[in-house]
Amino acid sequence: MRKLFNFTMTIIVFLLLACLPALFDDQRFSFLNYLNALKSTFLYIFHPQEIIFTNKISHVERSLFPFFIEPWINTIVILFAALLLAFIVSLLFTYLLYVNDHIKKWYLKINTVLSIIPDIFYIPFSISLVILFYRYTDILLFNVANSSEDKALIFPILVLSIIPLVSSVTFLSSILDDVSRADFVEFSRAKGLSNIELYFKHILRNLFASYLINFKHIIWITLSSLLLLERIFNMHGLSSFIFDYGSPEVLFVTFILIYVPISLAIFMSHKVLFTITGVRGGLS
Amino acid sequence: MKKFYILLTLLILPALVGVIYFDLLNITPKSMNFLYNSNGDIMKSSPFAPSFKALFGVDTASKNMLFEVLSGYRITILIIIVISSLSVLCSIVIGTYLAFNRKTTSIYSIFSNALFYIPQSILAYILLQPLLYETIDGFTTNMQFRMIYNIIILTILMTPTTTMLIKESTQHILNQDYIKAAYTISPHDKHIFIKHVLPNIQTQYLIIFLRICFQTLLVMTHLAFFKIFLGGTKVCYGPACEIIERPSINDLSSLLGFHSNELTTNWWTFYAPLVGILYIFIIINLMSQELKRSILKY
Repeated sequence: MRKLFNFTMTIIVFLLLACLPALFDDQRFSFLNYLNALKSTFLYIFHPQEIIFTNKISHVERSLFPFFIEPWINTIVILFAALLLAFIVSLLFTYLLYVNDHIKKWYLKINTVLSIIPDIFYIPFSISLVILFYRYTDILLFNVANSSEDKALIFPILVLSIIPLVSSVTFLSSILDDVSRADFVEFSRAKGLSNIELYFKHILRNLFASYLINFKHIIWITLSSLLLLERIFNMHGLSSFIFDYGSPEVLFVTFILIYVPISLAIFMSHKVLFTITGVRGGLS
Repeated sequence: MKKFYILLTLLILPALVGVIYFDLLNITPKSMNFLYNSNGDIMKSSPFAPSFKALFGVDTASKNMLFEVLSGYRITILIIIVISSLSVLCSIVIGTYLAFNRKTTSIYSIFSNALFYIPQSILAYILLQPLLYETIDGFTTNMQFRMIYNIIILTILMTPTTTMLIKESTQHILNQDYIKAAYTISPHDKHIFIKHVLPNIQTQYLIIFLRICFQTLLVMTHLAFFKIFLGGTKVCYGPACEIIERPSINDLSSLLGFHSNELTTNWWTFYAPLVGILYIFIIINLMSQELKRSILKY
C-alpha cells in the first residue's frame, strides 16, 4: 500500500515538474498556461500512443512511441553497463588493495585526488586522450563519436564507469579495513584459511552487501553524469528528448522512463541484499 | 587552521587581481591578431596554441585566453558566493525553525523521492531554458531580470538539500543532554540558539556553504554544456552564423560551454577555463577537508 502511494506521488511530482516549462508563455510568466499544460499532459496518460514531438528546427511532427524506444534502450544500456563494469572492477580492485599494502597506500592517494575532480573534466579529457593517441600512433582506440553506421558504445561506457568506480572504491576500501579486522576474520585466519580463501569466502560477501546498500547513491551520481556525457558525445539518447524536444508531455514520458528501470534496479538490489544478508534495504 | 587561510587567499587572489586589472584600472587587453617572425612578417593568424607570449593560447576571436579566464574568474567567484550565501541563509532560517519546532518533513521526503531521478542540472535546465535561451524574436526581458532570475532559480534548487542538512545537524545538537539542562534554566529558544547551538554549528555552516559553492559551480558548468549561459544565451538565427550560441557574460562556466565545440580543434580555448574551474573545485574541497579535520580535533 505504501509502495503504491509512493509510486503515485512520484508520478504526480513528475507531472508537476514536467509542466514547468509551460510556466512561461513567450517569455512571460503565466500560471494559466501551466494549468492548461498540466491538464493536457495528464490526459495523455490515458492515450500515450498519441504523444507527438516536434523538431524545434524543422517543425516536423512525429509520434513518440516507436521512435522513443531505441534511444531509451541506448541510454539504459550505457547506464547499466557502466554500473556493472564499475561494480566488477571495484571488487577486483579491492582484492588488489587487500593483498598488497603497497598498492593500497598509493591507490588511496590517487583516489582522493580523483574523487575531487568532477565529471566535467573526465569526459572531455578522455576524448582528448583518445584523439592524442590517434594522432601519434594512427590507432583509433575507440569510436569517440556516433556515426550513422556504427555507434560509439564501448568508450562512453568506459568513461561513465569511472565515476561510480571512484566513489565505490572509496567506501569499499574503508569497509575492507573494518571487515579484515573483524573477529570472525581473525578466527578464520587462526583456523588456517589462506588470504585468498578469506577474501572470497568472508570479505567479499560483506563488500558486496555494502555495495548494494550504497547502490542508490552510486546511481544518483552516475545519472547526472550520464546526461552530460550524452550531450558531449552527441549521442542520441534520452537527453535529446529533454534538450531538443522539451515539451511537457515528452518530458513527462522521459522522466517516467528514467524512473522505471532505475527503481526496478534499486528494488532488485534490495531483494538480493535481503536474500544474502537478511538486512532490509532501508534507503529506498 | 593556518592552512585554511592560505587556501582562502589562494582562492581569492586571482579574483582580486582580476578586479584590480579589469575594474579598477580599466585595462582592456590587446587582441593578438597575427603572429610575426623575427623579420616582422606575418606567420599565422589567430587562434594560436599556448606559448610564452600567450600562456593559455589565443582563441579564434584573437582574445588572449589568460585574460579571458582571469576576467571570468572574478565573475564566477562572485556568482557562486552570492548564490551559496543566499541559499545557506534561507536554509539556516528554515532548517533551524524546523529543528526547534520538531516539525516532520514528510512532504519533503515525497518530493525528494521523485527529485532523486531527475538530476539537478536537468531541473535547472527545464526552469531556465524558457527565459534564458533567446527565441527567434529576441529577448523580451532585460539583462538584469535574467540575471536575477538565474540566481534565484539556482538558489531555490540548492536550498532543499541544504535545509535538510542544517535541520539534521541542529537536531543532533538539540538532542544532547546539556540542551535539556539549559532549557530548565532558560526556556527561551532564541537564547538556546545563540548561546548553545550557534557556537557548535558555526563550522558546520561553513562546510555546508563550501559544499553548496561546489554544487552551484557544477550545475552552472553542466548548464553551460547544455548551452544555457549565465544571464542568457544569445542565439543567432541568421543565414550565415559561424557560432550559433553566445554567452552574454563571460564567466568561466560560460567560456567553457562556449568553447566546448572546439575541443577537437582549438583545445586550449576549452581547457583554459576548465583549468580555472578545476582550480576552484580543488581549493574548495581542500578547504572543507581542513574544516572537517578541525572539527574532529575537538
